[in-house]
Amino acid sequence: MMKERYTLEEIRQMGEEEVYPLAKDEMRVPKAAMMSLTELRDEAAAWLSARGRLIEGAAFEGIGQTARPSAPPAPKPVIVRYGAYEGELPVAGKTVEQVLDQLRAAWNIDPNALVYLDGQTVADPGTQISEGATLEFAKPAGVKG
Amino acid sequence: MRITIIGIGGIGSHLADWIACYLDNLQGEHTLTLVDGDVFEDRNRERQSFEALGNKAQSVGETLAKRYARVAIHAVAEYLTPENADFILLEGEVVFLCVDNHRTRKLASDAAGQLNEIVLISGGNELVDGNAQVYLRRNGVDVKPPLTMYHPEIAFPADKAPYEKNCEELARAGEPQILFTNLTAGVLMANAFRRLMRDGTLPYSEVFFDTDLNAVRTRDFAVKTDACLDQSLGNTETTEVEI
Repeated sequence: MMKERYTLEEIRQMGEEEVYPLAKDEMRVPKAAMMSLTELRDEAAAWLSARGRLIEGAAFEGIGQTARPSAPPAPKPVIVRYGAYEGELPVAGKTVEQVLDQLRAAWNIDPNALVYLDGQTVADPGTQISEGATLEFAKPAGVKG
Repeated sequence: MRITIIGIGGIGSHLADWIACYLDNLQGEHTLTLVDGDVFEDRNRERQSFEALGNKAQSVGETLAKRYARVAIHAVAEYLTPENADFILLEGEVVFLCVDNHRTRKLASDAAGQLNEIVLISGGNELVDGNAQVYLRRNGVDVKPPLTMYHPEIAFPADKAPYEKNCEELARAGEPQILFTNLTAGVLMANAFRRLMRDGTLPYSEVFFDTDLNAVRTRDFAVKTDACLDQSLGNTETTEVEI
């Protein structure tokens, strides 16, 4: 007996013994008996999507989608600089203050260091950092000599 | 060529010898002026290069004059002050600033800003890291930014220049420093000078170093106009070098 709604993941997890009867008897997919498991899953997903019965915005986009789930691309790293230190760090989405707390001890960042995000002065430490941004803590000049 | 070195201590006492050697092997007549109001004490020997005790500028000047006969070496036994800055930083010179306080750095940077042509190369350090900055003016225009532009700690110095200190303050020993950190600052200043003399320009305005990591990183900070002061870096490129 079919449920009212399915997630794409549920369809991906279906074995042949589950998806074939659905495709053949419930969805009445023609030539279901001649289809591969992947094709049966795709047909099921497309049928459900067309009827608004595929959950969580998983709009079915085409054949093979159930067999090859696509992972979202990783966010671009943020370039962080302080004096002689520079690194590409996965801190996109964090605030300036959070990154400063994370690096303060490791990089010995001066508490009075000015902060620049993509070349612009940062007044609010709660400013969120976008992926691919450049975050620079301006290292004070050496005093002694 | 006329070169002035202000501050003949941990950085300047070594740099003076390198620059004098450089000038001695350069064609033409050259002048090297050393400026410092401080005196050498025996305890300075662990980090500073000198033969005789006494005023630093005079002591090192005498040593270098014997060593490099082709260079005219002058000594000014005074600290840089607002009263003498205009007589020490002169038009068309190369000035190495090797002092140990930001108030004097600001004084020198501001004095340089009154000139049409000047190269001001400033170095400073903490225990294991530091930086060198290049302030360049040509035809009355800043080509590389003044020392104060990206460094509010220099623009608004919290420390005192030596001429502002009393005897007790002057006598107080400074914070510990490491010879190799001083030398690294001096070498990076000398490298900037050499590149500038060879190419007439520099692809950077500041270089940061860390002797623990043996890392050096240059930055080319743009000269900001009044409209965007304090708002942006206006910077361009960073180059990482490991030494």
